[in-house]
Order: sequence, then structure tokens, then C-alpha cells
Amino acid sequence: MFNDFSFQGEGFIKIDPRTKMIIFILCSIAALRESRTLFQGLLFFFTFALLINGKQFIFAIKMLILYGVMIGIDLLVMMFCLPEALMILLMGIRVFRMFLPVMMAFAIIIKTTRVSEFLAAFDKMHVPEEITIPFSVMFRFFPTIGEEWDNIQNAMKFRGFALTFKNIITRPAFVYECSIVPLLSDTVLIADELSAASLCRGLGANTKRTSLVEVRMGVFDYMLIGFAIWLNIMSYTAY
Amino acid sequence: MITFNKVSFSYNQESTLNNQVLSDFNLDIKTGQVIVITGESGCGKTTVGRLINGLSPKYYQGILEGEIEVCGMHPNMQELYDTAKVVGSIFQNPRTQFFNVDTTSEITFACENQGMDIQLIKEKLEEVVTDFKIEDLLDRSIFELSGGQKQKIACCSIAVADSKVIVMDEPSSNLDLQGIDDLKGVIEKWKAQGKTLVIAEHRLYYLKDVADLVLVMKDGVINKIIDKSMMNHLTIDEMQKMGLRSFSIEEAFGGSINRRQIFRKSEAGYHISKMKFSYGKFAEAIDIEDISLEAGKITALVGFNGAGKTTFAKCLCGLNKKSKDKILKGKTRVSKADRIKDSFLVMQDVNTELFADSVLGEVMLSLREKYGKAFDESIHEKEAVDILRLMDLDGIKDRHPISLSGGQKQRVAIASAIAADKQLIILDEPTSGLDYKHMVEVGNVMKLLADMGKTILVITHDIELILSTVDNVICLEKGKVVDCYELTDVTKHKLYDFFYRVTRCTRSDDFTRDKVASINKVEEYYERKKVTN
Repeated sequence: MFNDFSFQGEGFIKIDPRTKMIIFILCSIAALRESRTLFQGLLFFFTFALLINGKQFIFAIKMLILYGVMIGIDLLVMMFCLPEALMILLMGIRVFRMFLPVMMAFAIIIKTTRVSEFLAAFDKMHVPEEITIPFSVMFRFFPTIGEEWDNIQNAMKFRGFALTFKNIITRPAFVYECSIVPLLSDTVLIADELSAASLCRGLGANTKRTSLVEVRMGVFDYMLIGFAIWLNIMSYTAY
Repeated sequence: MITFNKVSFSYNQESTLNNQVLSDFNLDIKTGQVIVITGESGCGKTTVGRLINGLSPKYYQGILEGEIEVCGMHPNMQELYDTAKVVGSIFQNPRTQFFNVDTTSEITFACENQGMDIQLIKEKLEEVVTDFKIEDLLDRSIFELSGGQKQKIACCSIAVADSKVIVMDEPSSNLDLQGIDDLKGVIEKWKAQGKTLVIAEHRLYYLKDVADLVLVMKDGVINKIIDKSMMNHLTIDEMQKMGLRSFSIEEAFGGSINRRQIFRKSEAGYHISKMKFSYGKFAEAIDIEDISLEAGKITALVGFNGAGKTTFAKCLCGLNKKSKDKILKGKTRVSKADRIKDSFLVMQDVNTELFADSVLGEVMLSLREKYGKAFDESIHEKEAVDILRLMDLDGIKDRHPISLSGGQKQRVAIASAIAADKQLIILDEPTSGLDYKHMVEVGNVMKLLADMGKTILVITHDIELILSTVDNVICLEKGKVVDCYELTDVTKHKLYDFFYRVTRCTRSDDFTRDKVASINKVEEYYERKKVTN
């Protein structure tokens, strides 16, 4: 489930990690402010295009279909004026639709950026190591947590308390505890070994780090940021 | 080069003779030597490595007495990043030794941390890539690499940093025979370059030709020193008496196989036919026509990394929803849901399989699932204790599973499977990284389970385990069963051939391909040099 939340490869046009982070923040703000379907769609297609640029075709198409289905439901409900009870469901779908571009912008960061690019970008921004290192470890950790999660879920199936709909309803606290406790204890162990290994490779030395991967803001980066800012400005315009 | 002078170390804050991991430890290693440290789990061999690379006491804190000198430095008194410039470390678990998620960054990571010039890093990278023949591994996600490939990347990252001293902590425990063969090649290369190597390891056969000295440790002191001439003379029996694994696989094959007495044959075994599974559009990952697993017997599933062993196990116990199969238990067909209920997979990483806060609680959890509403804590506690006694765990029934050793955790998981009355128990590499004594213990547990009438499938590369415990062998290659036989003195040569034939043929293929690739790379490199000059 989380397994593909790791670096998968570079995109067609390389985007600076700083740009990706700025776009993520701007998209989040715009997504929360904007309620007009047209602009929401614009935001969606912006992040969709970035995913395509990042060669995340399958993920992008999944998101497109999901978005299409949600718009479809919305239209159907509008057309047939369905009862009140269904409106709550519709609200849920709309909120989810609002957050979809944010999720996609986050996926762009994780799937198309190397840990070393993060280190280099933070270094250029003169962010101190106390922030850089934990942050990059966090990105290193997503896929690891994914692997652990899958293993735990498998083990729970064997033991007879799988994370099924029935179990979630009848004994939520118990299945929650069984999923989370081993996950925590295990990730703590992994983090411990991971830090030991990275210290043995000289991380945190007082000399200035060099980096083989180059990060540089190009024209394309400024264009993307410009567009994201424009989307935000548009959200302030009159209705 | 490396000297330990009366070193004592304890991970506790108060150092007494009882809790010392090393006590009064002396060692003198000369430049260019390859030293192998072996001994039972918990004998302190990992700690020796940690003291050399400075992780103890700088990261894993404790009380140190005595004096350690590595290349004229004192790793216990300086920062870790200064020690890292001289000492390179390779760890047991490839999963946790990578900081980056892509291979190229990982290889250059140590150089970048030292602030080396980018041009220099590039040159070194080129050098290592041609040296280790890893063009096809560059710029890949580490999550898609096999254990052997990961260990190769770890070796490359050490080679780039040009460390004088290299410390390895059980580097072979997650590798198959081919991976071990590659690792041996790397160690030989480093030895030829005059690097000093300290290797903590259980498997000794692959180190026989390269090791200058093998130190056998016990309870924090050196118990025995085995030099080159002794390595050839020690018999298997003498090694096993010391709790060590053998120096030669051929010799292990030389002994005769003791057939296990089969007590019960009442339970029905599993019959698998027409099992097919593929990952997306790629060729079939699993394609099995017809195979049987007998109840009351231990079946070994052998094959090389990527042969589909774990995938087969997941299909068999019903975890894999997309597989197509027809599996009979006795004469009745069992669905995937039934199989999940009826089977248990002991994973390589047992940590994710334990949920309760005590060993007893773990077994009680299984009993509660089994009896449902009829469960009564006071009545069934006796049953739980009986199961724990069977697994030799009754002494530690109140301990928290996290605090146990790897082997104990394994037994707790198996105890919970017994409590849930599982019929099919699958073990995935249960003895990777275990010494001889603990390997025999795992073997005995498997025999016990088989005697209870359960069907046991064990996925393993461990030849000594197979020879000492297994009844039947299934060989898997590219998702297909290539051979399947009862293991006897007559058929054991088949097993030998299987392991060594596959090693040779895949290696030669790899070699020719890598050779062409590296020649191209070298030419490309010189072309570029010409232009810049």
C-alpha cells in the first residue's frame, strides 16, 4: 500500500526539490481556499501534469479516474436532486476531492526526489543539519513503514484478527493496538540501526558536505512557482 | 594496525564482571590481515567490531576500560565522523544500512559527507563501478534490489571511501550461495589491496581461503585461535563441539544422513496443482504443475534469490489473492481463506508477528481466537503453559517479546501457531545468521512439529540445516519446480549439484555480460579523459 511511496525515477524535465516543496505548500493553501469547481479542476490538472512529467503514469491515471468518478457522482446528484441523507455522502466526496491535488503534490515530492537531492537543496537554503537530517530520514522512512505495515497485516491475518471490516467494527481498539504497537517498536529498531549505519559513514561531520547531484532552479521552476502563485491569487478574486 | 589492550566493555552503566560483554580482551591485528571472529550468539564478536568503528561507546553507550588503537587513533575518544574516514563498516541487515533510497547516492554518500571534491568523487565512482561490475545497478531504487545486490552496493560504498580498515558484522546472513560467492570475491580483492579486515561471522566455509586467523570467542574472551594450517585439519565433529559451523561444505555433504523416524501419518498432507501467479504483465512468477507436501514431514524449498520461494509460500498459505491454484488437503479442496486459517508463516523478521505484551499473552491471544466465546482465561492458561513448556519457553513466560533474542522470538511465534492448531507451518530462512548450536535448536523444533503431524515447509539456503533435518527437498527455479526428491544418502548429490550448478552457470553468464559492459565503460571513461586533457 505504501510500497511505491519512495523514489521511483526522474521526470522528463527535472524540477528542483525546493520548487516541489513550494508547489506543495501553495497547492495546499489554494485547495483549502478554493471552492469553485472550475478552479479546483485547474488545480487538479496542474498537479496531474506534474505527475505525468514525473513519469508517474499509472498513479496519475488512477487519480484521473478517481477524480472523474467523483465529478460524475456530483453531477448525478445535482441532476436528480437526491434525498438529504445522500448529501452527507456527497459532502464527504467533495472534501476528498478538494484534498486530492494536495495528495498528488505530495506524491510528486516523494516519488521523484532522491534523499541526496533533499540534502543538497536544504544545504543551498542554508538550513541547519539539525533540521535537514531528520527531514531526509523521514522521507527514507515512508517505504520502510510500508513494508513493515504489510508484514504486520499478513501476520494479523494468520492470527485471526486481520484488519477486516468486521473486526474494525466489533473490536476497533484491539485491532488498532495490534497494528500500531509492533509498527512502532519495529520502526524504532530500524531507526536505531539506520542512524548507527549513517554515523559510520561520516554523516554529521563538521566539514561542508559536497553533493554529486546538482540542484539548480531553472526557468521551468520559476514558471511553475509563478503558476502556483497565480492560482492562489485567483482564489482571492471575487465570486 | 589495530590493538586492543586489556579491554573490558559493558553496555550497562555499572561495569561488573557479570555484565561485561568483553573482559580483559587483547588483540593485535597487523596491516593487511583478514581476521574472522566467530562464536556463539552473544559472545561479544559484534561488540569487537563496534569498538573498532567507534559505535561503542560513542553510539551504543557503555563503560569501557583498557585501550584501543586503530591506525594510531583512539576511536573511543574521537568523533564518529573522524573514525569513519579510516574505518568502513558493513552491517548484517542490508535493509537498515542504507541512508539513501537510490543506489548511486548511497555509494557516494561517505565521500559527500567528508566534503570531498565532486570531480574526485566522480572519478572514484567510475573506478568502483568498473571494478565491481555494477553498471546495471546504478541509479536504481534500493527497494527493488535483492539482498545480494544490496550487500554489493554496501561494499561499493566502502570501496569508494578508500577505508584502510573494514569491519563486517555477519555480512553473509541475508545472502544466498551466489551472493556469498560474490562477497568472497570482494574480500579477496580487498585483501590483495592490503586492507585490514575484521569479519564477525558464523558461516566460515567461504572465508577459509582468505582468513589469516579465525578467533573463536566465548563469553567475552578469545577461547581458541585457529590458524591457516588448523583450518584444514579440524574435523566437522570438532567444530560442532565448539558450536561452530564447518569450514567446508563438501565435508558437510560427506557425512551420512540420518533418516528421521516418522511416527504419525494420520494427518492429510497438501497437494498443489496448477498454481499460477504473475506480477502484472511479466512472465509467470510462479508456475507449478503438481507437487505434494506430506504431513508429518519436513520439506525444504530451495532455490536462488528471485526463484520465487517466498512468493510460492505466500500463494500456498493463501495470502496472495491473485494466484490461481487448486490445492487439496487430503481429498478436500481448500480455499484461500481456509488456508490462511490453517497455516502460519514464520517470517524472517519475526518482530512483526508478535502482538502481546508477554510470551504467555502471545499464546493466549491465539487460544482466544481458537475458542472464541468458549474461551476462559483460567482454564486455558494451563494449555498455554503446556505449549510453552513444549517450546522450552516456560521459564520466560512473563517477559516482553521485544526483550527476547531472535531465536526465542521465533519459538514464541511457533508456540502461538501450535496454540491456534495450525496444520501447515512455513518457515522463511529461520537460520540465517545463527550459529551451529542455535541452528540445531531450530532443527529440533521443526522435527518436534513434524512429529506432531504438522506439515512443515522450510525455505532455506542453509545446507547444514537441510542435511541435518529435512526429509524432502523441492528445488525451485524461475518459479518452476525443477526437481523434487526424498533426501537420502543416494539423493544428496542432487542437492549438491543443484546448488553448485546454478552458482556456476548464472555466474558465468553474469561475468560475460559484466565484462562487455565494463570494457565499454572503461573506453568511455578514457575518451572523456582525452577530451578534458
